[in-house]
Amino acid sequence: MESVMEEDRAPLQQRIESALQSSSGGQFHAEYRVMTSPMPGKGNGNGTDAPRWIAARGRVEYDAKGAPLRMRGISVDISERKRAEEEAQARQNEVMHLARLTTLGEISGSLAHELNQPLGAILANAEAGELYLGRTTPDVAEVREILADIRKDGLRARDIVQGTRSFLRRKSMNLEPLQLGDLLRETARMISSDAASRKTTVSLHIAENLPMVYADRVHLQQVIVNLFVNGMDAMESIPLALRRLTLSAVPCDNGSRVEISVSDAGIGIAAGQLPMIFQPFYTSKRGGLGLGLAISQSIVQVHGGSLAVENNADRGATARLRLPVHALVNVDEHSNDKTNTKTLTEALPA
Amino acid sequence: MISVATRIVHIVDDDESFSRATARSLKASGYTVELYVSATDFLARRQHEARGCVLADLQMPGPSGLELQTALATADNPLPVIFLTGTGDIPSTVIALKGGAEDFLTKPVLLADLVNAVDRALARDEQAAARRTREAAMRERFQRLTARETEVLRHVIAGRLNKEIGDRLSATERTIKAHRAAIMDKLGAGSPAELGRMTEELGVQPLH
Repeated sequence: MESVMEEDRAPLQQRIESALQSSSGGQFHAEYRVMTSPMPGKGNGNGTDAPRWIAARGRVEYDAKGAPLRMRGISVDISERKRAEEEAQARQNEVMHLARLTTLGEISGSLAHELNQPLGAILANAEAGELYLGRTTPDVAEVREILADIRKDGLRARDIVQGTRSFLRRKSMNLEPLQLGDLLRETARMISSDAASRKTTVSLHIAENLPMVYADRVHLQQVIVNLFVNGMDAMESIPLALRRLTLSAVPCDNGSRVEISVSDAGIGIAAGQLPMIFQPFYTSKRGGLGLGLAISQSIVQVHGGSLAVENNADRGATARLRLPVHALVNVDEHSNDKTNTKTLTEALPA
Repeated sequence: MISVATRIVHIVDDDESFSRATARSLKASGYTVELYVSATDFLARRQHEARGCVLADLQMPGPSGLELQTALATADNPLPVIFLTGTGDIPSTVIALKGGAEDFLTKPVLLADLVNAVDRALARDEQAAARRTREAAMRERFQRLTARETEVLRHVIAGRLNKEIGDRLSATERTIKAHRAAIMDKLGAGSPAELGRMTEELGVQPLH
């Protein structure tokens, strides 16, 4: 136990103890780091070696009275896999940051246009207000309306700045293996009360045994919620009976990707607008910021996926989000850690 | 002096808040303001004898400000256009100015600068309207010419003498002289030079 790194000791101890309770079924699985003693001629030159990651799996056997007898199991060195995962993570964050920087260049023009709208209105209103107050009988009612409008535009400018800032902030992505089915059902629950109040029926078609994806849970949910909200907004003006959102998830591209689609029965997208919908600040909604799809697309791209929107043949539109199935994650289920370590190293680009 | 009835600014902008604010400051400065939410809205609702000038945003959903300018340019009554834009990128500025835009302003704009631009545009509209009135009056006078007189006129502006025209039309020099006097009288031209200017303005072609 002394060789286990200090911060990993308590969780490891806890896992062992819980495995010793017969109610747990005796299954034991833990990953932890151990310090290796320095060996002459090896290591990093400072006399210390990097800690090794160990995965331990085992089962406790009990006696007739349910008291633990012994634990059988194996310990495997998974340092290679852990290092690969950390590298992949760092690379993803770097890609995300680069994607944001590129986008910053692209949006600066539209950002200027977007901010100059409320600024122009504020300036014009202020000058009009001065003229109204300068009259022999100042029009107080008009000035009051002007001030209300100035306040509204001030808030609008603030929203634009905040929206842009949260869009551009370097927030680290925490990519992890995800069961898409669970995540999608959870996301559908998150929007269910919103859907109910907007009289929208939501149906889910999620294929059994979807392969796992390697994704950031919160970001991916943000994207799907955004697609749901877009769908509902598009159905604002259609009869209640027709308001239906369908969320589907199926493997595609010979099982190398998963397609998540959100389909609505709304007003669709005018042909001329289709090429613009992913542009930052482009919006067809009154009061919309025009960042939803732009942000969604940048998130999906960082996941190595794609996002496309098209009009349906009959009515409404469908957003299709395709995510690559993560090779590293999906081998895990069919192999032990020993071979997995090897697969991991091979699967990573040089 | 431009009369109040023609001091009209047609604001074409999809940003309701910006339009309302600009309308307020222009009204407070003594202009009449009409609001349109898009280029399509403006083209559909505008009166064909409308006066004033257009203040349009360059970037709008649907047809852009530049497309509005193109559509207006082919109209009988092309109102002067002032562009207002949030970005003012160079390519569209160049296109707009080449297309005859009166002015190109960037948002946010100071009222004083806007008023200057509007006054220049209204002055140009005033000139254009005066020219249209003069042309209409001349065209109306031109309509009073008989077919024969029109024919003689086209020979005259080709620079022919009465005798040459007489030969060509199998008429005496005296008859042609009488036609010429009638033409000058009906068109209200005081001199051959004035007659030349009028026919050029109306686009009457010399007969070869």
